[in-house]
Amino acid sequence: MENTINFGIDLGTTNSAIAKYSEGEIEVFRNPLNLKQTLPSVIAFRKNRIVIGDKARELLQKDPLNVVGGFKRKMGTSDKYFIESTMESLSSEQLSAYILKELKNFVHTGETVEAAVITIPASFDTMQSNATKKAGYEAGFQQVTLLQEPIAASLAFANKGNKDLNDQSWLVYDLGGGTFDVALVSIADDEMKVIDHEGDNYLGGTDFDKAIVEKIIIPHLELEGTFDNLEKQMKSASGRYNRLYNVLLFKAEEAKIQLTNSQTAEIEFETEDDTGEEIEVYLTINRDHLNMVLKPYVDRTIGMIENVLSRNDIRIEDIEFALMIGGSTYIPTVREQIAAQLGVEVNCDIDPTTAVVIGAGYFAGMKMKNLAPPKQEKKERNSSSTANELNIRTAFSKVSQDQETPFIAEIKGDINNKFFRILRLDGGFDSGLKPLKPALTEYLPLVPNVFNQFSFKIYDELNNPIPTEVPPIGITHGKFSIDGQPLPNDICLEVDAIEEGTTFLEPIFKKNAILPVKKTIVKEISRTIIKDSSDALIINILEGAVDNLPAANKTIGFIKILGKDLHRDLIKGSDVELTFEVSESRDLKVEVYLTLSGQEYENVFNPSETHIDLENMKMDLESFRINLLKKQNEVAASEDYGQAALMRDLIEEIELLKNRIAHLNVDDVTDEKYQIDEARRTIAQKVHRIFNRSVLQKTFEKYYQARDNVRSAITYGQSTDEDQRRLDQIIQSEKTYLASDNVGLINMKITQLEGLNRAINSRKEVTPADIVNHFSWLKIMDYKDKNEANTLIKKGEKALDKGSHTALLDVVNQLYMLKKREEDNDPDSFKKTGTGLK
Amino acid sequence: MHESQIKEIINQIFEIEKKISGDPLEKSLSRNLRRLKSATEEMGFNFHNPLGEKYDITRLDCEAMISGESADNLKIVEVIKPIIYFREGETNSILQKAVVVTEG
Repeated sequence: MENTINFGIDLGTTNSAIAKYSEGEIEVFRNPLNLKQTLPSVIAFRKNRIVIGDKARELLQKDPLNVVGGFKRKMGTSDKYFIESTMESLSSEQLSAYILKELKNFVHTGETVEAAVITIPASFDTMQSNATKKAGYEAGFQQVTLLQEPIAASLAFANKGNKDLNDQSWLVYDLGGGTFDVALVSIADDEMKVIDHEGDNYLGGTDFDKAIVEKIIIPHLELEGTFDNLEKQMKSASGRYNRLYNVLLFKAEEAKIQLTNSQTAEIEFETEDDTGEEIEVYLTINRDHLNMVLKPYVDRTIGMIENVLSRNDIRIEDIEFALMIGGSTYIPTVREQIAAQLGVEVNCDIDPTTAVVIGAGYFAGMKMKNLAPPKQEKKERNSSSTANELNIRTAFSKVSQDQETPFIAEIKGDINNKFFRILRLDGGFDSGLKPLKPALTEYLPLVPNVFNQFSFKIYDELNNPIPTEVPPIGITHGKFSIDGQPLPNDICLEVDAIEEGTTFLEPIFKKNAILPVKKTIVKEISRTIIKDSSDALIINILEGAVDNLPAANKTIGFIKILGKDLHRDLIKGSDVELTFEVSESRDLKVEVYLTLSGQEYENVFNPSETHIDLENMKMDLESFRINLLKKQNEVAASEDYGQAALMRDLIEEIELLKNRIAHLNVDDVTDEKYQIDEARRTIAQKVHRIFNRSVLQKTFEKYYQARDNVRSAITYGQSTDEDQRRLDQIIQSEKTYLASDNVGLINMKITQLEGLNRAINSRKEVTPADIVNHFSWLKIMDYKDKNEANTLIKKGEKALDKGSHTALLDVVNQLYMLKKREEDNDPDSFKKTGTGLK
Repeated sequence: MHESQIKEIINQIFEIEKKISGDPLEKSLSRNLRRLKSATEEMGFNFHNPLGEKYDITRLDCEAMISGESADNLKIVEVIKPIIYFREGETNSILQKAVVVTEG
């Protein structure tokens, strides 16, 4: 068990924080609700719940009867705060105890904070100091040690880099969000102490934000539009521009922060003036503007520093440095003006927002633990002894379509002085602390379309958690409704595999995706589709494994955009934007937008009505038949009789099916066409297996060759780390796509590998022998435009004779381009089977 | 891409949407905006505009400035920044709280 206090707390007027010393290091704990290291010292008592921190601060100005802040200023006085909603009066120490109890929640290590060092302003007298201790005991600490804030900050500074401060004097300049303090600190006879101090409880960063609005933004706005007493209309709660005022305070704070790192900041907003005229404001402010606005405030702090120095008869030359702490000392003009006007070194070595709590932590690490249990301990033991007797039953709907859903709990046992709190685990909801009741209902807000998780915890009066058996609360929003369910199969889009002259499937939604789902993808037109031609763009959406051959899956949506319907030619490479949406009741909605022509198509496919295009089906079957006949000859030649017999049976099956289609009425109302479609898909799978066997073998060989080429190029060529990264990226899921037997997919990978190989090799210096070899290879290739090819070949041979390798390289490039152009523009290669999408 | 850069992109998408709302440009730009949103959604980032929703201090997904005379029955009347969620598998987390103005 550790024998030092270790926990340090900065109990601030505006913000508080908690830290722990451990093995020479300090950890400043973060608020589990928002991960901030500080907690605004504000408490809201509203509608039977207690909320502490950021949320309470939002209401501070608007609901002063139920929300309290700044109570540290009244520590140790008889003044009390009357809380309207609870009809009770609370002292500053009671309110501070709430803050301390809330800070315990920051300690993620699960330790109980038994003892703590709590910081106090240098100005605190004995009464105020004792009141702070009392607050600590009320929060359940058994030992409380106090430490002055300037000393804490100085300790943080001294511990950073083991600085020697012996026989030195310095200033601690603490300018926070709402308060200012300056302290003169020195070390004499090995003792660090505060010699003198001065402060202003109403001077800080929020005053600066208001000043930016009042001195910069309002005058600018008054020039842009017609306003009558704009400032008053902004600041009055019932004023016409009160909402705008709040927006501008936020914008001013943003600009102030931005000016910490930049020379200028933009403030941008829209409003109406008194005449109803719309005004768009784009205001650039720079550091000079900010300096001008802040100068009176900084001057006030300088006045206080001068008072402290003159009271103690100390010259500024005797001051080693001014240690800057508090969030507002981030502002460059504050630092610059202090340095310039006082002529003192400004020290910004420590994090100004956490300096005090870090120093408190260091001090806590040096102070021995000496627990002197206060009266509360008895209470605590009582409460924990009854904690185990709580019997809790909870009820909530695991699925909800509503924005919020009720959570009900029934509690048996001793509920006195106990509280509950429910948090949404994404950090979006906090019920606040609410008194435990035998039966309670809390409405939990849900994030749409996700699984929402909440925790339900019970606390004793000291805010110590009481272990319970309540399981986590998990509520799915909008899912698994009456018809909604996970997708039983992949939903895919058929796209062209250009090089293979075939098509393959790309996933749109993966199997088990929870409905509803929506996705927009952008594809390219794979070949130019001429306006008014008989060509068509086909959007074929299929259900089934993405690794299947398209024909083996079931079409659930089909859109054919004919050339005659186009407003202009669809140029190869132009975008097609496709939005797919599957509702909970499995309606498939497809929106197609042709970016080039600006045409839009929208179709809703009802899954209860499978879309079967008989024409398409006939085309598929005919294509299978022709290919099987060709293959049958090859197989027969190789005397593979088993395979030949299989094909013969398959061709017969296709003939029979074609016959069934021929006899089908166009308006057939039976399920005959669905049965035919099912049979067609079975045939497609068989065909796929037959053809895939040999094609796949060749594709594998080609793939391994392409991959080895890249590896070799990376090892021996002019490769970079980026090439290796790209290779890793391409082959990342190699196992999966090789096991998929999907030729189109593997070919896509081959294309990527070949592209990478070319890119690496292109960096290699080309030798004359390389050019000659390449030319020899291109000479024997087939060209559709033989004339152009021959002309180029002759030109190349002349260049070779003359020994002009530059001219030969030019010919090689032109021949290569000619070959590529012919491949790309082959009008017959794809039109009949392709979709027009890639 | 860094989280902060994605946040900036989303905030700008949101700003543009706000600015063109009701403008003749709205129709022609909505498709481009949708594509941008769809790209960020693909990366796991979603945003939500809580305009018009009710507000109370249990809502940790918004930072509110409360204007007007009443602090009760608050509604979100202006959204300066949207809520940004990041989703990874089943886990949803809030990457950015909305900055809103509320009125009673």
